[in-house]
Amino acid sequence: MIIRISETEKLQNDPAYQEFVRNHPGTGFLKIRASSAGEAIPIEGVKITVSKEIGDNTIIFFEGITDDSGMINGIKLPTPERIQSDEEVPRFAAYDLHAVYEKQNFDKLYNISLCCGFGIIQYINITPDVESEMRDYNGN
Amino acid sequence: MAIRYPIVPNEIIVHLGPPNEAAQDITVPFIDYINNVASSELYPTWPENSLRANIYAIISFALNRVYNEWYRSKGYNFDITSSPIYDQTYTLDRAIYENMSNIIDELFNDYVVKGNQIQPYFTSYCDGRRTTCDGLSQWGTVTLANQRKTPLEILRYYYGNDVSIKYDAPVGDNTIGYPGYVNKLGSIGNPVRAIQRDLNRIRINYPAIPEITERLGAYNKETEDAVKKFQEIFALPVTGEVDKATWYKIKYVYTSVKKLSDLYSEGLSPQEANFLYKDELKYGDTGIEMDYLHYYLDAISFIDPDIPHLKTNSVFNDNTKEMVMAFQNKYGLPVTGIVTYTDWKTIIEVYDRFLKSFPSEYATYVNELYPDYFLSKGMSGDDIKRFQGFLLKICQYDKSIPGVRVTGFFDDLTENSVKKLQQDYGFDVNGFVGPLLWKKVVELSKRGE
Repeated sequence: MIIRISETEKLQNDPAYQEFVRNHPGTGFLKIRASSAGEAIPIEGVKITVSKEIGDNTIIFFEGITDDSGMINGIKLPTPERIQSDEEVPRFAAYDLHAVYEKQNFDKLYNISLCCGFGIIQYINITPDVESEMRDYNGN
Repeated sequence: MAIRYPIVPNEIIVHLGPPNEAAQDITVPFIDYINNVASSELYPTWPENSLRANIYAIISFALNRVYNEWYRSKGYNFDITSSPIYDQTYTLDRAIYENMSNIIDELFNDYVVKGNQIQPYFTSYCDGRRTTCDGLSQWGTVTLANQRKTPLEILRYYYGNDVSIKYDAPVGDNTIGYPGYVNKLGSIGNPVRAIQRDLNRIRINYPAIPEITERLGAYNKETEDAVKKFQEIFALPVTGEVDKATWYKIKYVYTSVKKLSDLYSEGLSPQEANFLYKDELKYGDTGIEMDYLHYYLDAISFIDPDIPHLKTNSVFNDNTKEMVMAFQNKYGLPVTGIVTYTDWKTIIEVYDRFLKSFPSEYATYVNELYPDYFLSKGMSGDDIKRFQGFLLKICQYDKSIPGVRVTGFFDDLTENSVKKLQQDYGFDVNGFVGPLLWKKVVELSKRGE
């Protein structure tokens, strides 16, 4: 079942999600940059979904669309607590990031990992879908 | 034979697999490649000096491969592989860590050299826990950084005491290099003009960047706002100042935008290429640059007995040459009598130093000295307040000046008064307060006393 993070009632009754919350008291930060041609063209309107399979459900933590600069800033996602010593391997939370831009038939899944207190930037490089453009042009 | 110095390439071709196996070759901007490798090889939680040492090693490793044409000399059509067994880990489409990206933006054209060698050093490294090697231990750098060692000390621990860091290598084919100093509110000159031109071109593709309407080579509030938005869009620290990282990011995006535009035959227009400030000033030159140069030399010679205080006008004449050569001699510059960017930079630095450490016997004049940056609408602070104080004195006897409020904020009223004075005294009417207008305003303010 797909559950959005805003559906609090459903999540309150989901023991797997509750355990996830207990184990992920920290926060990591995500920025999205969607562009084409070596960042020359920002891509507006790319649909971004960040989700994670927890137990039997897929929880959607974020849904949004890139703005006219091709960006989404300030996405906060739960992470495990930060380990005090920097001489140990940090603990990460992994998520699926799904980017869809229908105008160019672009549909791609990214795996992202975040750790507490740190930010990541996911670049979405969209290349023109020449084949579909040719199809449109030829009318086939 | 001419020595071939390393150049940081705009792009690098990465083979997504071991060298002798069939795999895709992808072309990526060099800086994106370094970001990807750093995020694949290092943990964001590591101390900053550890990250810096590792990033120097990653950059040098890649530049060594490019400089020596390691793979190309073996008949391959790529510069480096994505395999950690042969090179460094590159993970297609991976997200990058913001804290590493900020460091890389600052270091991407610095690399490690050994002794007197020219080539980037082959900085081999390994994890240090799962694998060990003769080179740098990634986990070992964490321990050393926690012992308060600097990045260079960490690199020397692993690669020997004769390694050093070569800073600011030239970038790409035609990229204009970083001028060597931060451009910010009040800065003037060619670099500012270039920043304004580039941002105005980039905003056609990124409309969220506000337009810079006054492209006069003075870093005004409009320029600062445009820089801040650019920094926000391109995930740089939002300071409003153009440091090395922002400079090269602007150049990179501008080049991408122009490259794309080349498809439509759009080149650099003559208007875009026509800079307000010349690259060098020499005997016989005239113009506003000469007035600025004379103002600064005049002020310095007033205090420094080694610089002759000679009469000047708007022409680079014998007196100017004598003052310039004395200045160059005193401050260890090549004594040419020609003012280059380096000379300009030093003149401004010396002037600024004098302002900050003015001898006590001249204390009464300090208030009248130009603050070493252009004042313009939207700026605030004590210097604006000083300037408004002089303006107020003029307004009290010259009723044709629109007026002023001594608030320390350069508002519309201040700008209108500035423009009126510029019009009355034959300056360009642009609302900026440079050294000559400042001097004129100070002089006029005394007439009413």
